[in-house]
Amino acid sequence: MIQKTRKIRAKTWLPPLCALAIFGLAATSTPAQHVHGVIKLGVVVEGGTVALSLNAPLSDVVGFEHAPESDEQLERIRQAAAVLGNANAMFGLADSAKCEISAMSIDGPAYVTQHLADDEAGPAESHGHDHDSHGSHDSRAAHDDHADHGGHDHAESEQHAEVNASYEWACGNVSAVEDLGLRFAESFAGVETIEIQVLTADGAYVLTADGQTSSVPLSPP
Amino acid sequence: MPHNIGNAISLVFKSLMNRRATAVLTVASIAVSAGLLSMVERVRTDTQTSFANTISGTDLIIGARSGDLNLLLYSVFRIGNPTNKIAWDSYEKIGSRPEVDWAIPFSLGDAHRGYRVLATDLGYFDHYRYADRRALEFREGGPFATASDAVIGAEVAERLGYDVGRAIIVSHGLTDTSFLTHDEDPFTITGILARTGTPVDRTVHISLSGMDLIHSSGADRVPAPVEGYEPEEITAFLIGLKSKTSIFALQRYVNELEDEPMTAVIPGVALQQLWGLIRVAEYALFGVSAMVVLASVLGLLATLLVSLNERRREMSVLRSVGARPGHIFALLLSEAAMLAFLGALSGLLLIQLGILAARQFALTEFGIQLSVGLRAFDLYVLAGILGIAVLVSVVPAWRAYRNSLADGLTVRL
Repeated sequence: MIQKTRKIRAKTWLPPLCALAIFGLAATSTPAQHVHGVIKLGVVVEGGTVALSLNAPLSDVVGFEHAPESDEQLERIRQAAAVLGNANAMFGLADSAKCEISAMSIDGPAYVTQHLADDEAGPAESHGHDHDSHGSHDSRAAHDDHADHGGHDHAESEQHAEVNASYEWACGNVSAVEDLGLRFAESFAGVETIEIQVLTADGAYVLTADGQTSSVPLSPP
Repeated sequence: MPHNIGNAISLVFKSLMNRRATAVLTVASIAVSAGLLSMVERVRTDTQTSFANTISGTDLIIGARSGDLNLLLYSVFRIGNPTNKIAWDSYEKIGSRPEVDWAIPFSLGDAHRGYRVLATDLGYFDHYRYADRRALEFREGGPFATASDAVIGAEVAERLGYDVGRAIIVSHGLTDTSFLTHDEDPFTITGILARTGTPVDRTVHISLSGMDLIHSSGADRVPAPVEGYEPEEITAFLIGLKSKTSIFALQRYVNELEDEPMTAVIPGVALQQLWGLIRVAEYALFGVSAMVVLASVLGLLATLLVSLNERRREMSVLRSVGARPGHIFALLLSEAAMLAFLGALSGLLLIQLGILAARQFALTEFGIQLSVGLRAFDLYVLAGILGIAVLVSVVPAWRAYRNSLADGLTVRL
């Protein structure tokens, strides 16, 4: 049977959209790798619940990505753990929304999470990280080092540490939740970009903020 | 002397009719520019709506690791090709997690006469949602019951003239010239879906066991039952969650799963990325059409200026019957306004006809539903063109005003 060549419909879409998809490939970071200087926030407003998930490279939070090696670094980690454990200090929801924190979980390297439950825990044991690529271990210098190549593709990303936290608020009057206050930037060591994905009953949208942004709207622009 | 609006308009109109060739051309150029601007905006918004309406109620799309957009486009919009397959075990592992409400496996890669074949399970007909959480409906027949049954979309049925009961053949790969046409395994159409205005209309649905049947050979060719069938691999799957609040945690879980490199995308977020990418092109198109509008209004200005000299006698006659210089000024402004209004209005109306003519093509070729009817944006276009035209025509009107003060009835040309 002779059949005419007939390519898939929507073929005229293919070249431009494939090109776009390739751009998308480049623009979307490989999930398992984090990009220094980029904190990701996911916000879901559903029913009477506001759920928030935060993904941050540890270097953005404390300025380095290894177990603390000095009292100063240990102090930074303790402070960071205290901030992460206090959702209402990191994020602001309108008082009239009557939101109460109902669930919280924080995941990260043991030398961070151990300070969540017990701030008086002893010095963290070494995790055998290879710090050579980070140069000086002074937290300031390490942070500057990262700032220099923010967004760079890290070959040694296996050794990078990140913090994943999720928070849930139960809100008495969820319709009053219009904005999300971002207050964590001043407590973190280096917040350059905050990528925010918001899912509400009205749909999904993405926005980008930086360390100076004090609040973002939780409704489509 | 034109002492009421009706007289004034009729005077403007009669004057224009005297120069109907230039008037018609001016109106036409404004019509084209107004239509273009309206069309660009309409295609932009209708494209976004059509894409957004294609998938609803699905929380995550999961496939082999690739770009978010690539995964979204091939799995839902049937645009582009999958990068890789994923193991059934991964599907089961994620699909059986407590926060997951339902999961629909997709297997892609074959075609029937240019229409893509989607192998899935019966959950597809229960859980897939489009537009505002609308479920799929059967126009005729029902879901597939055996490995050699097929369910076709509304457009496949219409374009190819298929009815329930007809036998069709599925080819391997996406073109029918492929050497591997699975002649031995005709599928029987058991159902035709009602029109959705989404890529579902252009899809042939078969069961996962049917997909494996056409790709097996020799002794393996034993049709397996549709329900409970477990293939080795699938292309992607859709996930619906019990509560959206677990969406980011599950997304991270999938992205970081070590068994198999996979990507989980949130459809709405991936679409936003797509619009973000093509926003530059949209701005460029919009800018170009706005420039075309400007050019056509400048054309109107040029026409009016050129006409002034040959109309000195007309102005003088009007003056001699009692028109004051102010009336001449107003005459020129109303002429420009009338041309602009007629141009913009006819452009916007012509676009409606154009959409009526092209909407079927846009729907079948691009999956975009263009809607007819004037929108707020069209009124802005109309008002904008009218405003700019009146504004620029102050120049010729002022000159006509000056001329009419100086010129007598015997004009020295």
